[in-house]
Amino acid sequence: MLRRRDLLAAVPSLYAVSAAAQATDWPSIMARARGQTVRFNAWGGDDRTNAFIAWAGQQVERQFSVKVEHVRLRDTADAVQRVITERGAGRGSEGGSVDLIWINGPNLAHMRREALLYGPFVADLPGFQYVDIAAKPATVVDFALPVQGYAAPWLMAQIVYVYDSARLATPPTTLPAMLEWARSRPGRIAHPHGRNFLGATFLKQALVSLAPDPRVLQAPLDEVGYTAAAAPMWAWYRALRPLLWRGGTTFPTDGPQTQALLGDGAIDLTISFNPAEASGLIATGRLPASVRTFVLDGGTIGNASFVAIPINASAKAGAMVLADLLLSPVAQARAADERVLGQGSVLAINRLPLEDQVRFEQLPRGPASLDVTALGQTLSEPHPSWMTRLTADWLALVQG
Amino acid sequence: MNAGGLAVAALVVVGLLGTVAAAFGIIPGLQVAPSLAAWTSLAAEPGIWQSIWLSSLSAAVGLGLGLGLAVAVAAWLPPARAALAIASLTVLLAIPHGTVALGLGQAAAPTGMVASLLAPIAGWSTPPSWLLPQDPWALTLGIAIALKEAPFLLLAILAASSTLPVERLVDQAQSLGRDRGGAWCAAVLPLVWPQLRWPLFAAAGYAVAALDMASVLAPTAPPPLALVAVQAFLDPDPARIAVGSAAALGVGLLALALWVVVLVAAPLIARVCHRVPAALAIAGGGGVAVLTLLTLFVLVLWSLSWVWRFPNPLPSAWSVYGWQVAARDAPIGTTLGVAAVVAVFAVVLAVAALRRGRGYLMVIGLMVPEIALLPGLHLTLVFANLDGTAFAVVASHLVFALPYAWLVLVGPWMALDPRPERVAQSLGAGPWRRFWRIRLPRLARPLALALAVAFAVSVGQYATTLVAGAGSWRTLTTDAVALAGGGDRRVTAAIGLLSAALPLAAFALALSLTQRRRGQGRSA
Repeated sequence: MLRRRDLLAAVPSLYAVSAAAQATDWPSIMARARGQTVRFNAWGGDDRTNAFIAWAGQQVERQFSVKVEHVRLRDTADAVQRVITERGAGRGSEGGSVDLIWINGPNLAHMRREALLYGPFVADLPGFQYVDIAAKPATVVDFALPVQGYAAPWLMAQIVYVYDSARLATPPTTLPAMLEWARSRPGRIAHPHGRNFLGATFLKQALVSLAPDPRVLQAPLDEVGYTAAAAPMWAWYRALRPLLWRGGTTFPTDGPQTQALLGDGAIDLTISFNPAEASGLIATGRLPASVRTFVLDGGTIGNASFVAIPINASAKAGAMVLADLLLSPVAQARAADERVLGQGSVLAINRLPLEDQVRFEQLPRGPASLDVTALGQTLSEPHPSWMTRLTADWLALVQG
Repeated sequence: MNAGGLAVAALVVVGLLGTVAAAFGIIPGLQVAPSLAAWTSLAAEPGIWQSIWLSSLSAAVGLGLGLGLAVAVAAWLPPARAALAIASLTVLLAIPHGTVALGLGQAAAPTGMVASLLAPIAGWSTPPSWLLPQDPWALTLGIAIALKEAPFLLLAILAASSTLPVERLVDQAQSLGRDRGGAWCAAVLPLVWPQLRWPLFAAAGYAVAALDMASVLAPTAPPPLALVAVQAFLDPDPARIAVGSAAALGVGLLALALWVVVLVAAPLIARVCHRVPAALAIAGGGGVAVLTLLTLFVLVLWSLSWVWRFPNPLPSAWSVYGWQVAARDAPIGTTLGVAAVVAVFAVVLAVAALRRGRGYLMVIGLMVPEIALLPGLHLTLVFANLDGTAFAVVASHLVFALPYAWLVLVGPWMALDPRPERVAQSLGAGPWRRFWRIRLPRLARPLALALAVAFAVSVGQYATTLVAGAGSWRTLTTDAVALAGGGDRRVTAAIGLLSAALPLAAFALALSLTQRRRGQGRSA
């Protein structure tokens, strides 16, 4: 259980960094940031997220004279590639084209491993003091890898299953029950392609729920452990696959396409990584009003989204100012508002000043959203090596 | 001017070399040792042979069907209708591939408009279980490719024959007892065919790559080879860049093979050409136009809908929401400016290359799919510290726009009757005077078309713009692709239509110029 120990060790060490780093004073960072333009490389596929980023850009421009340019990515890897190429061309510490990047999972692990990130900088952010490290360990540990101050959390996500209650009255809240239901209604459940992160997440959730001892998933995968831990999940998936949409022979490319199938009435049940997404889609007419969400009895996987600064960023101070703004209670409450984004906050709301707590208390909740209690326990993401292996084995099973 | 052409050709070569190097494990900045590892992992990729098969099948169907339709329509097209035909073709051509794919996919889906129209007749209460649009044979993709290849090739045929005395040739052949179609096949096709070599090359390249269409219409497990390449490129693991480069080279080789097959099959095409009855040509040509316009119609409905679900044949609630989102700070100015500059440079450089000889180097840019040139191109720009500059964006767009401009021009240029210039020379006109006063005016139609084509190619660039512009150059297409990933069909539909509007305007402009030229009594 070496990895688990690392995981726990990460929390106090972060505080240590924090104490030391408060020495580099924030006012001087703000002074350096003034007049900089931050090129924020973030997935641009969601209009609501784009609007939120535009709002955040206006805030830092007004408050700190930092301009934000949202580089709308199709895939975060596009930006990672750009940083790699720039370093290969001798722009390894300055003059890069990416100042801040929305990142987590394998992309973050990759940038950390290749030493492509600037930092540790997170402890320097004044807003970091309110991050709920104790109850939301995913804010400092991404996919079982300690972030060590190289990436600032800004949004929380948790898996929910999305279904149309008009056609599915009582949702199956265990994976065996889901399989039973699929037997009675073949072709009415879908998940994205296994190369897509949400598709891999569908498998990962089954792995975490069905593994005899989920704790082994926090350590890097080894062959013997994999066979034992993943066998129940693969047995379940092999039984489910022919009962998937199109008999499990072709798969929707990503989450939005899968949600569109639900909206079309082509399926009755799928997965989402944002508990408030379904309510948002109902509000904009993309899902029928009868859509609801549920979580599994044993809980579902939760993780955090991060922003990180590439080692060669041209506007590092400006990027820190934007990262800090994203952590501010005002921005976090706005992101948590389902009419805006509906993403969970990374902050410990009860530790905030009272006037900031109020911002969160009055937020409306849509028809398909569960309250915090119903969302239940969040489970940890497995170490990234598990996801890589699940995807590879899935490809071999489905395409081989 | 020639320096510019050389620079673009150099970019192409460097990009290609970069990709070849990457496929053999040499990627600057990542220090990967030279090896064949990428090829062995590509061969071990699950379902790789199925991917290759899907690419070959859809490309062969797309190019074969497209070429067949183009030849059949050209054979039976009454000369009086040529102008009208070119007008309709340019409309069809101006619609981006991705837009056609979106509309076709949404019309054909089990929950789409076609199924909804059939539902009351067939008595369906739940959507039918047909396997469209991502059918396991990728035939939907093949048909979609044909929808775009047919107008492109027909236009190439018409452009090539615009310098030929088509009417006289057909009349002579008809006087020997052939019907009109047979006469065209016997007398005109053999003269046009040599000029079609390079357009066919481009068509084969597109048919095999077809990224924008495949991502909407192809099966996903496994996908066609071009998508395998893209997915590998986008993988955060650097070893996958090499695999992606190898797959991209594989796509290039498939395109080359398809091109050779088509060229070798020329006698067969000529023989089949004689047998095509007028009715089939009309039905085929009409079918392409109707299907393409249907896809647009479906997108118009989607872009104006609020809720549209099976089994409603029309949206049940309407809204301009899709347009509002699509038009919110849409970067029309940048798109227009870049495309205009690119179009002018592309045509000037293509003409310069043609004046110096033929410039076959230009077509290299078409041999490998865009995605395969990008890593090498990107490295070059970054090393030169030029990424993110206007120069980088324009130059990298030219890599793709210039070959198309050259393609449109090369046939008419080579086929131009040299005698008027010789006469002018004998009357004492210098080379520049002959070029400006005699050659260029006679090429007005191909020149205008080349401008429009280059403009449309520039508007359509996604990955190139992102890479060369270092992410800071937003165009309609970069926004469209990013937003299309969000899966809101109403927005995607509006953006698809919007991104068709600019090229459409460019083609309309080119066309009106051509019409005026015709009015001045030039032979058509």
